[in-house]
Amino acid sequence: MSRIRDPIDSIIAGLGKKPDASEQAANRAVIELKKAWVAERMAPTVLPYAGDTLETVMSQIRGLIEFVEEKSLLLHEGDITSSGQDGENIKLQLLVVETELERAKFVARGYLRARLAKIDQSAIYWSTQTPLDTPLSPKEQEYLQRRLIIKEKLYDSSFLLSLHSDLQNLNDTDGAVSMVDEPDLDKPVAIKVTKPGLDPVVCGNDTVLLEHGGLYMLRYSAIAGLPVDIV
Amino acid sequence: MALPGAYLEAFTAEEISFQAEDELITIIPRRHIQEMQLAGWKLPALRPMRRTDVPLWLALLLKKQDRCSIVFPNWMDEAVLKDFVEKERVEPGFSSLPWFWQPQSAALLAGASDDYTGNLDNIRQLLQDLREIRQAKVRQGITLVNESHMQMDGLSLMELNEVRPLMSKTMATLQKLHQ
Repeated sequence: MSRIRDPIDSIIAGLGKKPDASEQAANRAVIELKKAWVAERMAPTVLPYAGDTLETVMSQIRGLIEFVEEKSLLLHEGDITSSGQDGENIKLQLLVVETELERAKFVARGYLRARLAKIDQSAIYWSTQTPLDTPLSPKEQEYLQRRLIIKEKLYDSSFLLSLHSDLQNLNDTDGAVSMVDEPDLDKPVAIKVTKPGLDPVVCGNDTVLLEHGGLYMLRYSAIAGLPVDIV
Repeated sequence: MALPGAYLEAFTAEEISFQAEDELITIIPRRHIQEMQLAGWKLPALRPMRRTDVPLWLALLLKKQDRCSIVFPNWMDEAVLKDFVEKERVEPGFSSLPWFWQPQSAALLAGASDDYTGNLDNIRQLLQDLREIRQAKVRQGITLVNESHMQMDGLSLMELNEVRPLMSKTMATLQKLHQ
């Protein structure tokens, strides 16, 4: 009996509870994407693509745009006078929804732009990554390929073709300085430890204990892939 | 360029304010406001005098429309801020102010100062004191930077962001010297 009752009890307990609106506001996709944007901006390399979160945010953005169009039409068609009670309500709703919309768009745009900036910076490096290793989304890979082709054409026609054939490569890694710009994984980043019980990380000659709630600045390579928040 | 180079080193002050505006804050609605569907969450119908937690940006927007008054967070009480200043003076570490204490207090004082029940001049002064004491500590802390890591518990995002470019460059240079 008790084995059956437990889940039922938990369902009954859940019935009385309305999902808390503020909790909803704090745990939604836009907030998740905002975290990804912050991490992407501060990490030296392109992080795994948050495709699902971005997709959710984009569909929410589309929903809000539809709402704005619908309600603006109501105001324009004159079914509702903008000075009346209903008009006031709609105007306030539009104001709130449009602000929310712009905020969501800003985060989505910021996220993609931070990634593109890093892809641009080490374009040849990213083009050498195998499809399994790359953190780039299919669209970003397409962008990267086209960008490389255009750039190569430009360089060829403006000066490369007039040089000796040995000097024409853009991806020469032999000399003292490699021509392929790689992300600097040892770049220091700031992190917040949001989970307890993480193993100590090795950082150069030191071992760093990551305390729960702590704020640290250390090289990215030491914490890559760990469940910590890059801030 | 997708992003100007300066943006890759640190956040701008505006971007930090933007992040702070998602923090929740309590409001007391003045008029009834209908339920609204927003991006991934529903703003419940707001009833007059019934306290509700909403994101800061929404609180400030409703405040501007004269639809609500804002309840200032606990830590912005004069007595609490005084404690913070005292502690900040005595203790070597940073006291645990909210992650967004600067943009949050600035936005509230700019947009809702008439809802504050205490003396505004006093808390402006206390906030300024806090900032100065903490800044002095940050400057002292910079002398401790080494090549591997640095622990900065209690520092807020705005303060971290101010020293980030300097620290990150210093650490990177020290790393190279060590190799």
